[in-house]
Amino acid sequence: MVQGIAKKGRSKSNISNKDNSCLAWIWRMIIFTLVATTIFLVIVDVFVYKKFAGKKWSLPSHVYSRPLELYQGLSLSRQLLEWELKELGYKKVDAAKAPGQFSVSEQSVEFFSRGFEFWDERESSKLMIAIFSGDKVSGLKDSHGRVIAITRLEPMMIGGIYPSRKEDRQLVKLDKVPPTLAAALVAIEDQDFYRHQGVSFRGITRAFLANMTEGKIVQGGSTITQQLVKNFYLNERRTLSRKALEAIMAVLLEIHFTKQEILETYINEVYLGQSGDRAIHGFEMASNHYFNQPVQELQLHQTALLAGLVKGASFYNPWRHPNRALNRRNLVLDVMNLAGVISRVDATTAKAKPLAIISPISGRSHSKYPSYLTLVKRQLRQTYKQSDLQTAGLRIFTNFDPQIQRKVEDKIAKRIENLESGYGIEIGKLQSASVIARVGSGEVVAVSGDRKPGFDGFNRALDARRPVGSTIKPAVYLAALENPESYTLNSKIEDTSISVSTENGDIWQPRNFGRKSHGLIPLYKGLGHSYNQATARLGMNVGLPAVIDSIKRLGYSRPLPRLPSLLLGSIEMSPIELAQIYHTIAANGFYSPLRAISSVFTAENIPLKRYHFEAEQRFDNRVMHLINYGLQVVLREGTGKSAYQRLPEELLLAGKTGTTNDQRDSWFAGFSGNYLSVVWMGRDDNGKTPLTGGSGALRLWIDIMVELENRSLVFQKPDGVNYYWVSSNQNGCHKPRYLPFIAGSEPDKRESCASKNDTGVLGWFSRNLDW
Amino acid sequence: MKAELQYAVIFTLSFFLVAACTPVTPSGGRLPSSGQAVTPNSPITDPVSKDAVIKLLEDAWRYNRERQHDRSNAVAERAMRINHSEAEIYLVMASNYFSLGQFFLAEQLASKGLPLASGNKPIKESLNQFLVLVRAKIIQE
Repeated sequence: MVQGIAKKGRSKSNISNKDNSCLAWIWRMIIFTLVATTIFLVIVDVFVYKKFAGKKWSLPSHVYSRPLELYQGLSLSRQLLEWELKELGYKKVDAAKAPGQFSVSEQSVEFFSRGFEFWDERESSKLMIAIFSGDKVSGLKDSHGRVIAITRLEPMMIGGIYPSRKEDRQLVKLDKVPPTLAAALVAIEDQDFYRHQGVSFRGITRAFLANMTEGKIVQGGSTITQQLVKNFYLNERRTLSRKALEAIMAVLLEIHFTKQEILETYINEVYLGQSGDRAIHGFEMASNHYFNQPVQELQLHQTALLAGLVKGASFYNPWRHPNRALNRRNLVLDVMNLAGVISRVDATTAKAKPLAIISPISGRSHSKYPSYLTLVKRQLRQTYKQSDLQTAGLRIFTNFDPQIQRKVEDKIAKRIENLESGYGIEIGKLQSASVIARVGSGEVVAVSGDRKPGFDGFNRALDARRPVGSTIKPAVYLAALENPESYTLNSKIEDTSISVSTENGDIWQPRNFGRKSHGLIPLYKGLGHSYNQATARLGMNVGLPAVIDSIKRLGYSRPLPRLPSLLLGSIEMSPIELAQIYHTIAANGFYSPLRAISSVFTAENIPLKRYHFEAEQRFDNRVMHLINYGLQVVLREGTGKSAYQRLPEELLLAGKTGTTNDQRDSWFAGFSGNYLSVVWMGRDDNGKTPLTGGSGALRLWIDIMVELENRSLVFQKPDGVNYYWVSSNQNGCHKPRYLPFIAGSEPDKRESCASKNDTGVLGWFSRNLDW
Repeated sequence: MKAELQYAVIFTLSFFLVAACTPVTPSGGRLPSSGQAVTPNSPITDPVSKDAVIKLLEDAWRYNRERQHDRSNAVAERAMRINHSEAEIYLVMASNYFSLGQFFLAEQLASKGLPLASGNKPIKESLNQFLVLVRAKIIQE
């Protein structure tokens, strides 16, 4: 009995134990689930918080042109200022009243500048009037009529440096976005945005009913927060678990961050279009992409279009499907009106407006100037890691001048066409490259690496290393003239056949271009007329090491072979390398590295690095005076004299032609007081051409220089240099020449024509009437 | 009549003599006959953009006084873009680099400015004085 009771009790106890253990197990499960859920939520929360609070995006770096400086006396036509303003996205109106607008009258342009934070100071936004007289700015005034000495427009974006996943975006603060854009987004995407906590059950119900009625998915129930979570944290997969996670993350996001922060991130995150392989993200970039304007300046009809694109940037692409885009925009405007955000009148007015998008190819975010951008990227890589350039959102300001680049590209295309037809060159075979830099500062303002404007491929200006021919000769003469006790510009040298034994036992026998020798000639003539035999002889007399040293000091950094043929330019250089050499000559012996970049700012507009001007004296300025004399002779009476058929006689210019064997390369390197331009022409297959330096590259150089605002080169007589009348040949003073000499190397009485030319009636007649 | 003829001859000869005795100055005047126009020019003054350069130089000196040397250099470089043959640009830049302790660059810039200052005596003197100072500093270093 007792046993039975005990058994019963045990059995009861067993059941109770079983119940207890089951309950305990359930409890354990609940606790485990709760703990697991909590851990999961904590992990998700940390993930959500960390990414949102930290660096949200990998931002590409953007590259900008120089700012256009405006001042009285600037050579700039009204049309060119208009062009610049349009490229910057300024809108032409009847009367400029807001930043980003301009109006034009016959002799003036009134513009409301946007203002810009430059390295040195902030240029504030203001209304200004530029008055023109011919092709010059004759006055600059503010809205009160006060004279402004100098002002500048903001730089133009000319391209970017993108990561492999080419997401392009420019960040914008919510307070810089027009209120109508935020209102449009809320109205069309999530009317309960300011009421829900990340997930809107009303929205889900509304979408569910709409989808049931239509029998297909016509409406999404996602809030703006959910959309942001989907784009920002998750992938595109449409599964139930992903949808649940999206909802959880949206709620977590709303717990940590304000509605303003979420909306601002959404505005910068959302995908709004495609430009080639570049994905347009965020409204600031989209505003540039579609309207060439900052988002801040957009009007209602424009913000409505952009808000409408959120649903499907490809489906509503305004260039490919303008009607679809127009209907979508108008729907957004109607919804905004229904939501009470805008009045019916405003909606109707905006609906009457066209899409007003720019032509797709003129979008300023496109890399229209790839040749220059390549140079920028190379110079940046000396300081920054590629990954930083692609993701840190740097703002890179350059010395690029879009107006000059445009002119250069136009002239190249025309001149090449002209030469191909004129010389019977196979169409499309002739190639060209050029580099234009400011003399003195060494700022590269334009680069062209191909005959085709905007060609994004092999950049001949930077990478085509070709024999430079006679353009190297100034280095030979420099090496000689650095020894004034041995050489002056009037020193005589034999221009007769010369044979030089090379180290490998070959005999080098250079010939003049016309296969004609000229006997005993002064040095300036050898340089001016580019006589090969005289130059080779001079180079051998001076010695190859001295010439190599001279080339290096001029700015060439690669190793140089000790070959006699180097004296006539057998060494290969790219146009930019030759430009570096000629810049040292143009800057009177001061070496300044050629610079494409002026400064770099962070994505937050904090100044990071300025690429400042540097100068290092590599040659005595008295020697440089002599060499610049010789290079002017080239253009006045030598191989480059055709320049003065089109350029003004009073403009002092210096330069040198270059032609290589079988006329495979045609070069011209020359400069005025403010611009240096180096031009190469030839064939990619290294084939022969009928062009010399004078008939090919020089003609394009002239085309380019005619377009630039040139000043005479600075050619002041330095201390320690004196001018003397000397005979130009051995036939007495029949045609005397006024030549500079370094003090101590003055001509002796036999050479000098001073006694015969500085006094006396006959001397006067001789000099002035060229008897 | 004979006297008048004599006067005419004397006048003509005098004209030729004066013309012939006028020295040919390097900074302009008559051009040599066969030398074409390859003669040195006078210091270039640029009246059209003068106001802009003056304004920028004023700003550059102001920043220099405020010891904002990098900013001062940035402004001076703007002036250089407009007229790089203005010697004062190099003086202000040299002064900035001197203050920044970059004596070699300061010396180079002053040397670059000196030949351009031939038409501007005060700047030439300042550059010369500066060069003495900076070279002494370089030797000390």
